[in-house]
Amino acid sequence: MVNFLLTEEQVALKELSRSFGERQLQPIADELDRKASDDPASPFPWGALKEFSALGLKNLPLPEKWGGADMDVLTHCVLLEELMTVEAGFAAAVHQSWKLAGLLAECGTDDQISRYIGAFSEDSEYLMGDGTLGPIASSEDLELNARPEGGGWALEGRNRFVGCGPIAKLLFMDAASVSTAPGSSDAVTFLVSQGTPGIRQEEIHDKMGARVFLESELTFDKCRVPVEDVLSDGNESGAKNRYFRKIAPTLGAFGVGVARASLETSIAHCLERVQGGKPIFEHDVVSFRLAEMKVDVDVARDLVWRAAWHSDHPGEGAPGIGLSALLFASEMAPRVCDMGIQLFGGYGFMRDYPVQKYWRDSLMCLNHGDTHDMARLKLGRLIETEAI
Amino acid sequence: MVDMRLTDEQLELQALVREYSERVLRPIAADCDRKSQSDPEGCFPMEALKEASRLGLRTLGLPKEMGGRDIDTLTHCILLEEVMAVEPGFAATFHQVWRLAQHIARQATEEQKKKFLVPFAEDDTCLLSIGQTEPGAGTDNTFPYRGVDGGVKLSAVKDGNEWVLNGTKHFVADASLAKIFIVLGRTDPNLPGPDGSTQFLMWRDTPGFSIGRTHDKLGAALLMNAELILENVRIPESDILMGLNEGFSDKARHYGRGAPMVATFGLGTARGAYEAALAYARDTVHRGKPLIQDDAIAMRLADMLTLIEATRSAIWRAAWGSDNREHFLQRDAAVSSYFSTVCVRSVCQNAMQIFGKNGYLRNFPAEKYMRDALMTNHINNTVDVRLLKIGRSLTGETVSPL
Repeated sequence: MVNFLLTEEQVALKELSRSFGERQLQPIADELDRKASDDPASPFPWGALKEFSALGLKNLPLPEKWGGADMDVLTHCVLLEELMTVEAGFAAAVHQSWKLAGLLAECGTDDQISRYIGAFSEDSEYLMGDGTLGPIASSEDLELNARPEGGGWALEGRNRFVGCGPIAKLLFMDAASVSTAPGSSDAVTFLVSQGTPGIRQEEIHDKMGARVFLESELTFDKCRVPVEDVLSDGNESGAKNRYFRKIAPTLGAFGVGVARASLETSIAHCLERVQGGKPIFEHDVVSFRLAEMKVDVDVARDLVWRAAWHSDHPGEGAPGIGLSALLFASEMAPRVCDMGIQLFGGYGFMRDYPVQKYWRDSLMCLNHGDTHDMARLKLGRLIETEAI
Repeated sequence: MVDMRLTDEQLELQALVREYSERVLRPIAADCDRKSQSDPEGCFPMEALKEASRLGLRTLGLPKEMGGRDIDTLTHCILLEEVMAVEPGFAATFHQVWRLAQHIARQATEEQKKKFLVPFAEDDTCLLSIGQTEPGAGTDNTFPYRGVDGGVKLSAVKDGNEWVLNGTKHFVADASLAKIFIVLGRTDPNLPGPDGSTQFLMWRDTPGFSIGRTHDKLGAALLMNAELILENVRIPESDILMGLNEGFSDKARHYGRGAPMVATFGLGTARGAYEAALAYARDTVHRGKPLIQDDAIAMRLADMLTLIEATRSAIWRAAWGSDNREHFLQRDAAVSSYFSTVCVRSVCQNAMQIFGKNGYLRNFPAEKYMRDALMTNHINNTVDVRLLKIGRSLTGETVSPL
């Protein structure tokens, strides 16, 4: 029976995430953002991550025996929205660790799980780094190659955008194996510990927004990885790709959270700012704009929730809804954040006010692993093949 | 716990309504629409209505003891979507009769039920209609306007045990065909419209009551909107539905929780246009391959599907809220009905694009969906009013029934 009520446990975690964000991130968000303009390598808030871990939030996607709660996709979306309302970069970093820890727990061998999940669960500063392709991109784009060498593998080449590349302790790297036929979608996913010989840290990207989420280029030169650290052979129907399709709705939660932040800030501003003898909130044209923002945010959330439920209950149909949630919410966010800036008038252009940061952060949503047109095309192809 | 699974009863009814719509309505939809151009009153497919009655579809809003299913808002939306995807005008007729039967069943006295609902249940061609909008009273009723000079003007004056009604209504859905009407009259001109209006039940053949012209519309021809003309219509006190001056009261709110249902007009119409475009894109070969293999067409379909899924999600949430009062938010309802108009216009226009030049031709289905879609711009409220209500509600200020 259709129901939109979160469980008590979900509500409690949501409140916990919100209060954590307000306490640990809100006060420093602007300062971190500015610091990163001078030094892109500087701003990760380790203190906040430790607190996040101490509250038990970092380990949520892990199985219970590792101190987690087997967090489902819906809960992931709900919590990510809360974190996104306060600091998009931090949210992106912990989202990534949730996602990859979940991937490892789902696809890893017992040996991999006990080595890496064990370490992740016990270390409050342990982050996962993401060099995987995600649910949209094609393996043809890989610039990292893997060739068999001495009973293991050697990685050669580079990955331009590794999430948490400079600070993660374990890197999840997709590489095209040299035996892979050209045009095939096969990629192999390797677990590579930070500091493995042959990995070189290149530049940390200087980004428009989400600056706390450090992304860097990594180059690999004869970087040897033992066979025990192959996570997945990554063919299209494989467990890893199934997992990424499953969690696609979580990418929609990014947009919902940052757009909500812009909306809430805008409402407060419009109630306070007086022009024409009354708060601008009372001017119809402002009401229209706020209403359009509200509609966009709420509809996107409803879609993300429905898509997340389908991810948690496979076999109930709606094969394209995860991509729809990703597309709709991610394109909604910059639209809403743009309106937020307009409602602030000239103040919207000033860095003293947070709406410009939300707008910059929101544009991150347009590039979850690949461009939006690729996501759109992927959904179009799914419509063709799955008769949606 | 969040759940998106429909109940067995919802799935059973959904299958029944889908089968009916494909078998009975699909083959006649284009012809009825064409006929409405020359004969707006004669185009209605009465046989289709009779078949619906035989299947129990006309009376789904009645309580179970009267042969209905007492469908809740979500079920209403799910079933309505199925009909809307095939014939939006006829679907809107179902919408009217489902919600009005339920409204009357919940509010009527035993005597009123005997007088109106029992004959309604037994007559395969009996439709219900409510007259609220007047030439001078549209948004005044729904926003609402609190001045005594606005709102319902149709006058109702007490004379002994009767009320004497004079005035006109227009845009009244299903008025051309309905046999039983609810008419809102202004029973207290000294109070603001929302506080001084009353719902009266009446049969079509009540002396002094007549139907004016059937409106000649852009689309949704089978939802036969018409004028009501009341000249010294005498209604017994006992045929007041709910209490005196309660026409827009909290009791009428159940009826006012229909925004997600209205939003389904857009959702279902959009789905119909999407399905037509998808079939066309699969079946039409262009430059040696099916259109759908063209990237631009596939991406357009992706956008259409995305808007449809987003709208369905918002409607389900709003409908769930309507069915679970403790979680009901007027705003959720308005969000769904506003967004569905955005969705349906975009999807129908994209469908026309996929049909190419054929999209503009009347022997292809795309243009009819586009015309039907535009009814969603003003049903219950104009789009701007829905937006204003959402905007104003963002401080927690309460808004009236939508």
